[in-house]
Order: sequence, then C-alpha cells, then structure tokens
Amino acid sequence: MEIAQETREGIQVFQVQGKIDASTADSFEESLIRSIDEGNTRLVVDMAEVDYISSVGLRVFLLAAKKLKPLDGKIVLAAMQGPIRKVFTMAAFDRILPIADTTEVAIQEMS
Amino acid sequence: MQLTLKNDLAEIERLNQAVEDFGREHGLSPEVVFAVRLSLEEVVTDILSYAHEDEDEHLVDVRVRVHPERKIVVTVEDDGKPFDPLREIPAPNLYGSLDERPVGGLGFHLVKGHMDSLEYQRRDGKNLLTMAKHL
Repeated sequence: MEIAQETREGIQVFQVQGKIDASTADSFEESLIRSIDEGNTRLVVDMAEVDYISSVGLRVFLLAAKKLKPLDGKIVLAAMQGPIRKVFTMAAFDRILPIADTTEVAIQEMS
Repeated sequence: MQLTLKNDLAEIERLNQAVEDFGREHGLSPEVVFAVRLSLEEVVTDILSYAHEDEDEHLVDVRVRVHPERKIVVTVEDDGKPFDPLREIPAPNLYGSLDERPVGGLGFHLVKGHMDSLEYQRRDGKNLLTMAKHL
C-alpha cells in the first residue's frame, strides 16, 4: 500500500494505492490520525487505486470518522471500485460515511 | 493450496500472498480471489487472536481447492477451544448512527457476504470451518 497526501482548497486529500489489510491498516491509520491531530478536519480519501479492503481497513475509517465528529470535521471516501464499494455496503458504512463518485466531487461538496 | 500457519499474526501476510498466487495459477477471477482472500484473512485473524489461551505454539491448517463442479472450497482447521463462529458471533448492528456503531465485529459478517456456504464441525478436538463459493 502507498499513500500520497496533498492539500487542495484547504482539504487534505489522501491518494491510497494497493491493499488495506492486516499488514497495512496500521500505517494507514497512523497517517489519518496524525493528520487529524495536526488540526486537519476535512479529509478526502481517493480510493480509485485501492483493490482490496478487509475489516481492519473498515475499522480505520470508522475510527477517523468518530474522531472527526466532535471536531465538526468530516471524512469523505471517493472513487471506490466495485468490490470495495460492496464491502462498504455490506457493512452498511454507506449509511454513516459520505461517499462521492470522484475526488473532485468530494472536494467541491466539502468546500 | 495447503498452508500450515503458526499462531503469529505476521503469518497473515504469507497467507494473503499464497491466496494471490493460487488465484493466478488457477486463472480465478479477481472477484473470487477477493472473496477467498478476505474470508481467510478474517477467519484466520480471529483464530490467531482468540482461539488459544496459552502462550504455546499452535498450528492452523488452511486448504483451498477448486472442485470439478465449478466451486472453490476453503477449509480452516485449528486446535483452539471449541468455537462455532456461525452460532457464537453475534450479527453486527448495521443500523446505528456513527456514534452507536462499535469499532470491530464486522469481519465474520463480511465472510458470510462473500461466500456461498459455510459449515462448522468440531472433530477430533479441532475446529473445522468449511467455506465454499461457486465459480
């Protein structure tokens, strides 16, 4: 898994590539939590290049969303591939986390 | 594919790699490889985390076979305490708000969603979970 991070219109955009699984979820969690701790409350995760996620990956998104809520912040997941979207829907995470078709749409809706 | 894993969470990486290699060798679709990889990661992580109360070394036996009747059959056998995941893991609360949703408890729910059939047996002092998916 590789993570690239940039700021666009005051929003932290994470581009994740590869698999969010038992071997990689910890470093992904660290990146998100560190960013929130640094004061960023608007996060977009571009999932276009993510081709696998297991429950430890879902856990990271839930932790970040719970941490952002009292800060009046938000995390939006963008451009999920079919199998990843299926996992999110199965876990009913689409009910509690905002999902956007593209990163551009996610940024527009947030700014 | 036959793999014997030690009760060490670092073994999950070796398991995931073995599933990817098996999928390539057998020309399995990405959807099937995804389902098998996820199911094994979830089930084996639970076993390595909760099945044994002592600190001794234990082995978990994983087999994956493609059957002629176009299905893939995955078995996981461990010598941990008796545990039937089909009966003992509660269904997660999927309808709560963000605050109400607990962190964790979704792994086996995802396994059920990705495989077509699941069966548990306690046999010769071991837990045997058999999971199958049509190709």
